[in-house]
Amino acid sequence: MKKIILKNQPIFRARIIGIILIIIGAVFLINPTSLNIKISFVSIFIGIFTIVMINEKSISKKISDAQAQGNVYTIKTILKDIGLEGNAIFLPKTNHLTEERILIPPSNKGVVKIPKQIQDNTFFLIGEDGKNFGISIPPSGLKLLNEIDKNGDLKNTEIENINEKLQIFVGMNLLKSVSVDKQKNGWSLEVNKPIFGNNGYNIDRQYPSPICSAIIIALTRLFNNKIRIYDVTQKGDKITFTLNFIKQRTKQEV
Amino acid sequence: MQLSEKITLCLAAWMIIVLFITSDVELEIFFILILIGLIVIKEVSNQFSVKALKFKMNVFILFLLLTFFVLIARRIINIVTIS
Repeated sequence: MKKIILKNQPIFRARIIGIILIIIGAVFLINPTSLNIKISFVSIFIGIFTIVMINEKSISKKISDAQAQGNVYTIKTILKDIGLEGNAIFLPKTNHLTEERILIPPSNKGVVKIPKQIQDNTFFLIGEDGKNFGISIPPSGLKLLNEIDKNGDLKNTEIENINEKLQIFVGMNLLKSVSVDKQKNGWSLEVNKPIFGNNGYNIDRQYPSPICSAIIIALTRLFNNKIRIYDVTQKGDKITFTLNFIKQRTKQEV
Repeated sequence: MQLSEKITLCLAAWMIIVLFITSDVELEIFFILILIGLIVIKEVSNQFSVKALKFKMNVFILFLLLTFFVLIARRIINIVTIS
């Protein structure tokens, strides 16, 4: 079983092709004419290049989708059970928060109030008067973004270069295209064909799928501001998030 | 197809083209064309690449540069010796 799985890996095929090319290159070196040296160099170089460059293991898309869906499904069930209906608000790092979090308010009606003292271990947000302000949880895409952006390049990016920086998601085959544009009421995030399938999780306003979530966290880091998912629409493979800074909607913080 | 696979295929195609068009010219031109191809592929894929991939490509570019310098140095030594 393990051997069958290994044979399906690109790394296995790359190694076989690489070794064959290196052997061919070595054979051409037996008679070292100018042309043979060139053929040999090309063969050995491509062989080594293939082995070194293609060395990432992959798993079936169905398996990776199932893993990601499990997390989102759990959170969605909790939200449904405790009756929270508000759209997600992405909170940036603060003195109290070491990582970005999502706040899900009870509803979208009225003024959204965000407690100032949200900490890493805060889950239920209850006001001094006992009022429910929703819950604060880690976003699904946080670990994904930390893995992609290990050096924190996104945080130091100029706003005009954000579209260029986000192309790393395309490079990792996580989606087909991504773009962010300034709109009248905030920002519009357009995501094309994210690898999570069209199963409804991508167009979630409360707890978006890891890929969409990772992109919104990246924007939160860049703007260092609270970002609220105002609306999500889907046309074919294209998903559009309408995002706005929470300060535009909040009258006062408690 | 992963980005690393696309890069490898592009480079392989470029190297085969270079091999055909430089089959009867000197090694220096062959190496410089491969080097240029690799640098162009690196630049084009730069914004899509993660740091590890960029590092690996830089290593190959450095190796080709070194090979090219060695060939140039040998040529210079030949010229100096003959003159």
